[in-house]
Amino acid sequence: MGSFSEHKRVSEAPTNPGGGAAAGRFDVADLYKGPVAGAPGGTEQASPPAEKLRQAYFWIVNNAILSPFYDIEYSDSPPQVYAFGDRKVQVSLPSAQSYSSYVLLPLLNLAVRRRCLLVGGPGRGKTVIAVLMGLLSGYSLQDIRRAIQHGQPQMTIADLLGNPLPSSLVSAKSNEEIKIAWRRWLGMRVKIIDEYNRIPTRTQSALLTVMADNYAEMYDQVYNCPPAAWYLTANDDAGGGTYQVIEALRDRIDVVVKALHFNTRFLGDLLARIEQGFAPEEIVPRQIIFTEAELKAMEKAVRAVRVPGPLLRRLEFFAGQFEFFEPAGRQAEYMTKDTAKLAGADFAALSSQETGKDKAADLGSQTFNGLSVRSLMTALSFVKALAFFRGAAEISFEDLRQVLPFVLHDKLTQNPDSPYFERGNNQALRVDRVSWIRNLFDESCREYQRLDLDAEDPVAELSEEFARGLEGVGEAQVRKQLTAIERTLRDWSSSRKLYGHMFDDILKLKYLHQRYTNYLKWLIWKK
Amino acid sequence: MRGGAFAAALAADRGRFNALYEAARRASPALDAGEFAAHLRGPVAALVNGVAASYPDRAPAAAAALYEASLDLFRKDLLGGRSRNPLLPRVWAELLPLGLRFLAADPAGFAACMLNALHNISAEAPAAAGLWLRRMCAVLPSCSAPEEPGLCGQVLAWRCGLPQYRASALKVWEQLPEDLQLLTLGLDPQAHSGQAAAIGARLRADRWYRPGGSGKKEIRVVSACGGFRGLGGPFAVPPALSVRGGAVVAADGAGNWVLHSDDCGSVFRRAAPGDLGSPAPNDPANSISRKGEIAFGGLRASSGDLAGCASYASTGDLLAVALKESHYVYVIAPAAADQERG
Repeated sequence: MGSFSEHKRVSEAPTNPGGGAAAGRFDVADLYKGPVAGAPGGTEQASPPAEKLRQAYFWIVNNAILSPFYDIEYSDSPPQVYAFGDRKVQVSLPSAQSYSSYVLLPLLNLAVRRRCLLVGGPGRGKTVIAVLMGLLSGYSLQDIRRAIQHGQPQMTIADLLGNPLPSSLVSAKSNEEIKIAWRRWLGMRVKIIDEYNRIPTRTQSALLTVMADNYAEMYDQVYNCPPAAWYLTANDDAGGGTYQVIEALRDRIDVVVKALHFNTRFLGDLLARIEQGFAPEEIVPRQIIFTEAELKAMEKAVRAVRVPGPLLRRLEFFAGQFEFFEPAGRQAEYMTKDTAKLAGADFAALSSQETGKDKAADLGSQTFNGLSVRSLMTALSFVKALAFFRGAAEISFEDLRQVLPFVLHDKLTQNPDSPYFERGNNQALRVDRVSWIRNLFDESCREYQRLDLDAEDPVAELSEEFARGLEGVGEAQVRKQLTAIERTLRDWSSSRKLYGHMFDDILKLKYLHQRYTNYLKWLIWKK
Repeated sequence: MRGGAFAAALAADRGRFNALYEAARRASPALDAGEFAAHLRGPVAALVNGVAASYPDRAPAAAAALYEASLDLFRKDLLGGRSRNPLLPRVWAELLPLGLRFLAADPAGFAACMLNALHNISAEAPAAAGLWLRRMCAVLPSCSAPEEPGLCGQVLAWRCGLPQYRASALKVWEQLPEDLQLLTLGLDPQAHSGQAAAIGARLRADRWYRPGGSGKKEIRVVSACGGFRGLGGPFAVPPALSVRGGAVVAADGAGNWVLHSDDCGSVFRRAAPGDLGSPAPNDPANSISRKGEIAFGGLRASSGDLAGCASYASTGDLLAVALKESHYVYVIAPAAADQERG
């Protein structure tokens, strides 16, 4: 499979060629880079973090996990596309380096230290991928295996977090004196929860505290956990299993990765593994194991990846499509799906009150909810991580497009009754959530283009002016801005239907108007 | 393989060692099991057993590291019957045994450094590799701190004929204790005790300075470097010389090469377009006439072999001459009169 079948070998750097030729500087430290791995200052330490992450990716896909898929597609020239069958199923051959989501996203999760849920049927390698992430962080196989938390219906909080030491329990005169034997996994930088949907509800709450707030508490004792990348597995993504997963815990999942099916044309590789007794987790090359310092540096480097203004606008425009729900309130600020949900209102009944809008065209009609702050921050983190992985200093449009479906997979709740799904071949999007979200983003970007918002975006212009600050701004200028805001709102109110993306724009203008108004009052008072 | 710490280490982690071998064999079907086994039974076993004799708890780590290093080299035909480098086996047999304490402390790092260094030097300057091995064997027993073998190896690489590393190697040299500073320059530490700082200052100031030499200098051709590309050199046609960014640059129409030259040797290295400095005129104090009359810093010399030169380039301390019908560049400098290199 692929051209790298020697399991211990790491792909030759660079794994993503295309950068400029190296400068002709001579450093005698290069003397120790060579065919034998392990030299200090040798290849693996000289590899920048992004290159090391790519080497880890290629080692895993070529040697550890048989995942011969390229569902995260990049092309630097128009890809060839073939259509199959009556429904014209499209298969494209990407023209640039593309990736398997099943391996890439857990790796990105390691880089940004978030929470990754691996879902899929049994025996698809979910636990193996999580174990590999632990090995890449420098833990031994034995440590990882001991530290995996296996969800089962009898799991108690003590099983999960630890036990008070019996001797201190007897002798303690107050809770503060009780010593807790905390479970070792709490202090690890990679945390693996296997079959989290088999953990009883009460214990899920204790898990939530650790996942959400990074500490464990028992008998008034607190254990502060170090930052960690989390890997949770579940056998299906409906939150079912033995116990319903509490919503707060589900909401803490940052990215959902599906275990892809096994391509039977690679059965020979499985046979070879059986015959060789090959276990990839036993021979992870040293060169791709990250130290704690490297993981910290990588996280910092990911944060430094830039987000260009035009892409940020597209993300804003996309994210703004979903929250607005006109029938949910009388005051604009409360016209949100969240208002309806909190009131326990019948969404379908409320929705039927909306008139005048093309619901098939309205992207917001496809969801029951909007995007939270947390999900937007997670999206930005993972997009930056993907750009970092690809060796870019700033994110690209395709990075955004590829990552959003995985990050928002469990964040956007689909409204399957939306008329959109009755159009054309859209029925499959009720089931294929990744394609559905990607399609939502594509449609949003098309609308963005149609409205020509890069060229004409009064909210952006007014925001930029405001962002320059109010220091030294005189009364005349303030009044000019207020007039501009009022004129824009007047134009909109007279000519346009109220769609989701306008909702945040209107409220932003209200915000700016209020800020200028308060400042004007102060200027006048000061006079 | 009977008995011994190495045999015990192999037996204890047999599954993993076998998996590694199988993986390497899948990628390199020509990997000869017999040759590999002979290498393990010979130098690897000797090294691991040697480590075990003084550091018994480090034997398993040494075994694993040396096993993997061996596989890396066999996979690439750098060891074994098809090896292209006759010196690498000598690293196993002659050099590594002198550093058992370093092998015990960091088996993967120490072995990789020594093996990679010899591999790289052989690729750059085959003649320098044997010299480096000999001198490293002489210096290694005097190393004590864990980083010293690596630092000495870097300095020796420069001293044995890789002048492009001069600047960085000098910085490394300054990190060494005095006795190793002197040893890596080929000087007796007892005879030159207390002189390292002064020697270092002269090395930094004068690239033609030869430590331990008589101090006498003469204007002479110190090296002929370059050559025809078809015979392993860099130039497709006889190059034209110029000075850019303070260095001599040779151009043959297809590319530009920067000359790195000092008392340790001369070599051309290809330059990326952005790496060339601004063009500069020749140093007027150093020149050669069409008759081969050399003027160097007020001194005069003559060379009939260099008459009719096609171009020359001179900096403050070097004159490079190219002939019309030669792919070589002749480097003239005020070099040590002694014939024996330090």
